[in-house]
Amino acid sequence: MSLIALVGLPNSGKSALFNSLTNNRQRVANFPGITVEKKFGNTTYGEHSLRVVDLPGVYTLDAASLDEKVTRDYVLNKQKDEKADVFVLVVDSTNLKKSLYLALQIKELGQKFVVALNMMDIANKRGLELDLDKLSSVLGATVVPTVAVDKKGMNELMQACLDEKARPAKEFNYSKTFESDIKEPAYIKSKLLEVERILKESVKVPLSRDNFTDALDNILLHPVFGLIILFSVLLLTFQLLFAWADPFVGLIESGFELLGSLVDASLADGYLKSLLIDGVIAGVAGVMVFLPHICFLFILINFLEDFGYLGRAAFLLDYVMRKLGLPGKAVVPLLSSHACAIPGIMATRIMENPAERLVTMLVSPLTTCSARLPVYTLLIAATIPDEKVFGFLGLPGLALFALYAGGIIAAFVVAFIMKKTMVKGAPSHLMMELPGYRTPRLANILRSTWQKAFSFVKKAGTVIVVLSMIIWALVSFPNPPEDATEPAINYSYAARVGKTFEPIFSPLGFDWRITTALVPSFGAREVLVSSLATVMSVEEGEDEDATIQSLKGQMSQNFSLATMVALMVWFIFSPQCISTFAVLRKESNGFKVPLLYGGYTLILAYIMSAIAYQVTSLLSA
Amino acid sequence: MSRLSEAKKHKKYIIKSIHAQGEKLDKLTKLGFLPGQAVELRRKAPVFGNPLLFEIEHSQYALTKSEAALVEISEADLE
Repeated sequence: MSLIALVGLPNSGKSALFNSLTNNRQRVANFPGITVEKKFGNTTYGEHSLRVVDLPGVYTLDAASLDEKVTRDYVLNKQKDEKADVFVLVVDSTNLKKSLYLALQIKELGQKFVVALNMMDIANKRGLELDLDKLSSVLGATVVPTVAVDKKGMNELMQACLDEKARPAKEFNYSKTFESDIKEPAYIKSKLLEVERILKESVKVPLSRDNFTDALDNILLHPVFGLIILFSVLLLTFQLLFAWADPFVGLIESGFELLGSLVDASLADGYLKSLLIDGVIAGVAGVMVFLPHICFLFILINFLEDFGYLGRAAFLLDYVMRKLGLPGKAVVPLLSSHACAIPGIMATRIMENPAERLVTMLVSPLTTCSARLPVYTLLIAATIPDEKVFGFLGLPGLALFALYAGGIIAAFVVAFIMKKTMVKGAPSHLMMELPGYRTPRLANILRSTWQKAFSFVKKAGTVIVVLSMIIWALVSFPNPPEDATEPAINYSYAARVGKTFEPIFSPLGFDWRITTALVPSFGAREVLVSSLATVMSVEEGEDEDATIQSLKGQMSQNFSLATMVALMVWFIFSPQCISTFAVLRKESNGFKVPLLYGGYTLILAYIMSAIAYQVTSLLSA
Repeated sequence: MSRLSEAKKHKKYIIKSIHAQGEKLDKLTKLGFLPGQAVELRRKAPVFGNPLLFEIEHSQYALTKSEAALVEISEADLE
């Protein structure tokens, strides 16, 4: 087995090359001891088997960030357990100059390497003509033109790697002062001069300007049309998640309901049946319902990213967003979180800076997801009179608006505080490359979307199923006594939890019925409505509306206005569903982030709800 | 002494030096903002005129104004 390590600048098409080489069969692990993702995959070429490792993108071996250090250590043979046989330097052919610096460093160290001149199709279109033999001889490495997105040049590249491996080893030319030497201005200057010399010798016809990108930018970055298109794209994102994904969610839900009713009909009543229907099937359904949102969002994001628009959107939005404390790209996760925080948190992957990504991940669930809508609708109906102010503004509508606004404002305020206190390293500025537009490849978009969906089911799905079974058990056990007069849930562990927490939640005006109903709402937010109905033994009406009508009546009789206002506020800030926790764990590769999220939201929700309760009590007294 | 933040559109400039340290210098250098390099302001973001879009060697880079102000330039024709 030969070990091939891919190095290259960000945006060089390294990931695309990795996918093409490994036929998309990639696995993801962490580099030892740190949370930098390590992607690797196996492939065969002829009778040879190759293992390919995709190293984080770097500009030089002068590493600043954690990611960059991983790559540096790899090239400097500092990885203890593995050593690459051959490095592949992935070069963006449309920006040869920048990659040559890194090439010279790898050459200087005496590592065996092959150069993949990627995106050669675009470079050729723009008129670039190279003397490949010359380039190869000055770099001391085989040079292979590739078009990774179309899998062109892959066999030649693998052959070159095997040839290189078979050559006698070069002398590994590493001195202890290497890492400090390469920071010296004299070193940098000499390398830059060498780059210029190589370019002069090997470029026969230089690249012309990217006229297509320029022309498209005239429209997409236009002061008027650019903004119109930007808002159309954001609107499309919203529409996609709110309206178009819904029928698919409905389809999945009714599919699992059908399955549940089949089990219901074929099994005798008892714990096993309850476990299967309310535990297992409901749990799995609870995972699958997220898939339409995830798939729709990522098809769009992948398309925009491959096309080159995401960076432009960030460029257009950055100034305003940064005034609010978050970078331009945070708009995508925040917007998506209004439908559902799960795809929203996953969408933070488009953000390169780890600190900014972490903050966005932690605050995204504060925005109002669609699962909270039924809860708000019920609580507003039970508290706010259906009157109009100024003759046309309905009070219930205003209340809903306030709840949405509360979520958005909270997200920005919390992000601001986090950046000032615990999350260091989020830059206050934008510095990024805007790559030229490229034709997106449908197969790549679908493949990447499938990978996201699959990893969600695999990594977050199991956690969600386990947690929803725990909630099921809390609600279902123990059995009510024979002479039970109250609904079964009132005898369950959930009710015991609720009663235990009642004193703690009394400053918020919550009694044990509310705290009990909150337990299953961690499975999914909208469940609060049905669990409240159960706890308060609201008789089931002819249809859902009738049940909600009588629940509304019961609530207004049983709870004070202040309690219900506090409950609304609770739902803005509180830790959201277990799926949010599961996806935070998946995306951050650990328990720290979900714990942090749970901790801060719990404290925040408690304080805000207590304030809401006390203030409303005073005002309504 | 002029700065990149004051550059006029579609005019070539040469980078003289970078008045930054640490992370900012590192990132600017890695993007290709190096002394001696030719650079051109291509676009400004709508409404606020910030961030700015520069072109170096036919590649585009976005910088906020305050970061562009760290880059000292001179007009290319004067060279």
